[in-house]
Amino acid sequence: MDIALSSLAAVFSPTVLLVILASAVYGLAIGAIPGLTATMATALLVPLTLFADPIISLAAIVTSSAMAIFAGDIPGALLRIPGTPASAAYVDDTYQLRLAGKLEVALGINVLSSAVGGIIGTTALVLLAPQLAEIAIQFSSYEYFWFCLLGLSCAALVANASPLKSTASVLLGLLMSTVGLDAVMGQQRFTFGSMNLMAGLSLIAVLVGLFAMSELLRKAATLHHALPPPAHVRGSLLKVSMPAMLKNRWQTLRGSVVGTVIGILPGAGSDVAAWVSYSISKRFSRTPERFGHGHEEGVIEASAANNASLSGAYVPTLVFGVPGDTITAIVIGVLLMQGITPGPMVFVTSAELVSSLFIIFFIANVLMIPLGIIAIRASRHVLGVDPRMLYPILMSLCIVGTLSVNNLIFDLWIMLAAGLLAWFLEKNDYPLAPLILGFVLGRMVEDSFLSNVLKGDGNPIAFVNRPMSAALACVVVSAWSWMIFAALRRRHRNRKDEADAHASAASASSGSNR
Amino acid sequence: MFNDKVTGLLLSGLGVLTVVGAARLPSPPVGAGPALFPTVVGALLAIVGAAIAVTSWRKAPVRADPDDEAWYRRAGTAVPVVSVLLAVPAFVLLAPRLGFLLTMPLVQSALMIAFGVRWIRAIAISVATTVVLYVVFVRLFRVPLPWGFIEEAILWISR
Repeated sequence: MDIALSSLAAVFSPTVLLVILASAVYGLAIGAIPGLTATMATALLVPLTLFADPIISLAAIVTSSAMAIFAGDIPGALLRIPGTPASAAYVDDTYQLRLAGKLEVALGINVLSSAVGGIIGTTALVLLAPQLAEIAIQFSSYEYFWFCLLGLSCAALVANASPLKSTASVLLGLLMSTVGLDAVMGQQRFTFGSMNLMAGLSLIAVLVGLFAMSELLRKAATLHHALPPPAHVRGSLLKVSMPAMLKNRWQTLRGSVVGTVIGILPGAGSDVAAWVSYSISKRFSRTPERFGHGHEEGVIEASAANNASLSGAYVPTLVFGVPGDTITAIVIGVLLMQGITPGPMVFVTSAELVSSLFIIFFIANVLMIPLGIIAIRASRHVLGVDPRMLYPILMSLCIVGTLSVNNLIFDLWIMLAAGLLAWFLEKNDYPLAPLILGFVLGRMVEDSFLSNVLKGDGNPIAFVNRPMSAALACVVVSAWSWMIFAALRRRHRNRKDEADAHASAASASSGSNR
Repeated sequence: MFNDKVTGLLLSGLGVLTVVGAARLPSPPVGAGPALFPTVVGALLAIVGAAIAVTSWRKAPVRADPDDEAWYRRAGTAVPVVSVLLAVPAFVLLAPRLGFLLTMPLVQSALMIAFGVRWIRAIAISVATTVVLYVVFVRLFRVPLPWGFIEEAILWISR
């Protein structure tokens, strides 16, 4: 009880509340501008959080990312362009609603279901995380090893891309984590004799490069695309959208639950949550044929899901130190730099911080309704920002942000290289979330693996000698065998289809010859 | 932008290089050493890369997003992309000599001008951005950003 009271006092201090308000405005603006993502908003905040209290850092990150994921819906309805990838699943529906003269309904259900999804996701976080921490506290390095592998497998298998490409992305991330001095012998690995690489690739330089620099490169190629002027929003949003919300209350709940679960899965974030729950909504709907043509059902379910996934992602982050999405990968970096190691002990050593995080999540999602409505009304101004002036300013932020961590000019090269790598990978449909997960978890996988080998004297049985590690190992192995089996079956079926198509084409042509 | 055969083979090659590089690392007399983990990851990357290349052989080439296709062929898109690429190296080379307060406005306004902003406006916005960043990071957070003669002059005046 003491902890709850003291964290309430900590969060409701004027400074924290002011930070929440400022980050809300920042997140809403970044999310509403197409091309700027919630992860980018978080990455650009990192340099500021380095110099602030952990509670203030978390307040800034949580609020701005929640607001950005909602605000991504705004240009979706107004312009049919998703503001962030998390809103891409249902832009057709909201845009069709706008064409049908129901723009206010579309935006109203966006803001309401986002807030409700966020609150349900946060409730799940509050209920689940401390319970799971009780289990995680019994983990030895064997369980940690398998759990990290499970996280990496999840990232490879759940991402919104080809499993082979996602796996390659995980491996690239793991490879990047091996640069620097190794933990066992202090040997230089892949440093090419450079002093600057001995400490490894700076996490923040890599993050800013992957998620901010790459966006600038991508956007620079489309500068000449001017956005069309957005439509006017008139009248009350809440009044017109309430009936749709009440009608689809079960869909809101289902979307929030699905979003939370996908958020918990390592490597899968708000974009995957929105796509999955949109398709679940379509499958169980009584009117699936109306999806994609301005139907409220899928919009409500998927907009609840993408906001619910944000808080879900904090479950593995806090409990195991395994990030649930790209935003929490950054959170882990921020916490580590503040001297807090995410993991089950956080609930004991930093209990106040954890409960403050919960409170901040609730505040951010409640504030989302009034601030979101203001943002919708002001969206004409936000969308009118000239990208030719905005992007050079963001570039300066990338440079200063990267520099401020280690004061090393060399880190800027890492940032640029990471940006180029991300640009190249995304252009070729390799997802980035698995890469960052591999990079963040690489050291943990290697350290736990090597200490397991040492402890077990090289005997592989030691890896599965404890009941919990054996269970985790089974899950990892079955996930991969299922994936390989499914891929082979799909391939077999494709070949059969091709053969059938050939056969029918042949018979058709022979028929016409006759 | 590229064919999956190319990206798959590039990744595969990177995997092979990693395995070769890891083989040069010293190993302890007993137990696993620093080479083990990179070797496993490199080998897996070589296999997965090869699998990407092989599976793409059967598929028809996927057409890229028409939006950003061939950006390098048109000046209107090539100039902004190349100037973003050059901005970071320019900062890295100039900042240690000229200091943050001169380099940042130079780089940012050059980028804006390359994007098509009028130069007076570009310089005004860049100077304003730099002053804000300087006040926040150097004055408030005490981050030692690259030092130059403008910084020297400010120090001299304020003394």
